[in-house]
Amino acid sequence: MRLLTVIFCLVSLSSCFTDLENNIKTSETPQSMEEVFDSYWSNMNSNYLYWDIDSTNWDLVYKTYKPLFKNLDINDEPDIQKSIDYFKIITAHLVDGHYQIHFNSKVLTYPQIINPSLIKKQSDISFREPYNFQDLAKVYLDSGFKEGFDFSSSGNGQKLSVLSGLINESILYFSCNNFYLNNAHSSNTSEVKLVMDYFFSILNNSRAEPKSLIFDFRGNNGGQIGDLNFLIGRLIDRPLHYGYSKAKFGSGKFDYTPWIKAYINPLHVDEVNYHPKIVVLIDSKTASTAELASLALKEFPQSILVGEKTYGATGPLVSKEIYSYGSFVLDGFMNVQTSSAGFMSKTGDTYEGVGISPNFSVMFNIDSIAAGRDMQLEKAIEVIKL
Amino acid sequence: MRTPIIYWAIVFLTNHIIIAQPFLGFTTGITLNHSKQEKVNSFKVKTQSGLLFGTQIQLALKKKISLNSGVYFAQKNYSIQNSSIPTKSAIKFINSYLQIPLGFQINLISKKDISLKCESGTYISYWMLSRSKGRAPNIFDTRPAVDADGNIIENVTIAFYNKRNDFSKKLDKRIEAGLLLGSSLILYQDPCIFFVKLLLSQGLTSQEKDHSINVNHKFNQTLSIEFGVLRKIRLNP
Repeated sequence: MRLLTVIFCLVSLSSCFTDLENNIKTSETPQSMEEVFDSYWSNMNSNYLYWDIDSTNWDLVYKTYKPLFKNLDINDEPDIQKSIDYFKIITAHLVDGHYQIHFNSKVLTYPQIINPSLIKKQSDISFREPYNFQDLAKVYLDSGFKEGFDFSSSGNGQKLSVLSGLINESILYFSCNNFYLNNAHSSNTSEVKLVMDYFFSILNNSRAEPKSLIFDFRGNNGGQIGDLNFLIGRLIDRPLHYGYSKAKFGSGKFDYTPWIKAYINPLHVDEVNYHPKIVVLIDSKTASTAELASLALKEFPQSILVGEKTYGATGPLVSKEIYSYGSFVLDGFMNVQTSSAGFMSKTGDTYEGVGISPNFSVMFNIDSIAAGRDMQLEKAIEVIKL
Repeated sequence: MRTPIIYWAIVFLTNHIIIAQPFLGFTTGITLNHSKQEKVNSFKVKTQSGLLFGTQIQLALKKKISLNSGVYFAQKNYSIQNSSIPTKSAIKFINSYLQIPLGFQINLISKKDISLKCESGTYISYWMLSRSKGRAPNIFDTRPAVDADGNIIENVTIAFYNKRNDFSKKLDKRIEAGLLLGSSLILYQDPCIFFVKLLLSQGLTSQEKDHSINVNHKFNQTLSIEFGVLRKIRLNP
């Protein structure tokens, strides 16, 4: 009887075999809207990083939108516009803060972009355009502060604006609106190099007695991750473990590397004997590398985050030479930008699509700014004096 | 169609087991496993070796036919590598199974105490443990260095890891069933049998559940080379 059971089980299990029957036709150069949808859906299925935490029901997307795309014509502009409207709905709840689709079909009169996280934030009542705090911060700086600009370091014409100075001769202030600092510093003609050298010289001189630091990352939309070593690596004498990262690896939707430790590495071998009090200013426009910098600085013993909750885009955009998953292209129709790796803090929190909350919340206040006061910077100075 | 096959198989077995001469012993060897799966991006799936050992029971049903079974520990390892990137990232999956084979051996050639047999049958196995051992680029751990012009450059480091994987009820199918095909070279030294066996097993069930549309299923294909010894058991002393 046992033998009968075993044989029956074996035969039954054999019948569970399902062949790799794949009716989803993918192409890098789609010729129809059905192919566009199949290729997009399939590429997202394998390349998108956040399926383990994303609330979007990707199977339901397939079932719902496949028939709709089938009825669209790839050579008809109104139909492509309709597809862009569908893509807006499909991507509306994706958690990836870096996610963007650039539509570049020749049939379109002008290229179009979908940025789901921005659309989501624009619908919030507290949404505002980025504000340049550096002009206001200068009011609080002692005379002799340095500021500089650079338009070439980012490689895409984005303006890098850096400001550094002392507040009451005891607090060292540093602000940058993106992280292309090392690139700019490499150029001898860059104004940014002068500001950075000024900041580093005061930082080095202050080793004799502990001083306080304010890093102002408000409005900083990120940049090169290597800048974390360039900037924060000067404050440490041993690797600083500040979180974990993971990337996709393998053929499955949920195939990942394990969580791997993230480090800031020291720039010098000299021992750092001072432990300054650090305040990091953040706001709703602080994104990407600036969020990572904030989390890294948060690991210092006496550090505090002041301001608003950050944007929530902590995954880096890295070339496929390093990570094989992330952004992909459907030639002649769309470029999809999506994170190549995920980030988790040392405490096990993920901030993608959520943002990092400050220790002291001070909301953006346009009336105070109009009156010439930076309430967030004032709070930072107050916290340091505590 | 299946019902008559099962019926005749049971009739055949029950008729013969009564008169069968049992042998019991141990076997050990190596496995070479490949994971058949759809290729995504620039990854290549590579065959990896593993260990195999267990106890084996053989029932000599007729002069030329015997039934083989037992309980095995078998590793079905494989690796995936990305050869297109400079870092050559790779993961080796070390998968340990508890396997129960059921195969029929038929004598092909016999000469004195040596015989060559072919074997075919089926197996069922349980996926007990899974480990990932690999290297991956870590953009979150770059090392500053100074280039020839005195500028600071950042080199991406490679992270090495070796981690036990947790199974997911939603994603992982831990019971595997498949088919066996192989051959054995046997030396009789009464009351023992020494053998060398080459066996190919093909998983018919994948390692993944159908958790979503277009699941990329992974099927184990394992070649095992076994060495073992069996001893005759006297049922009526």
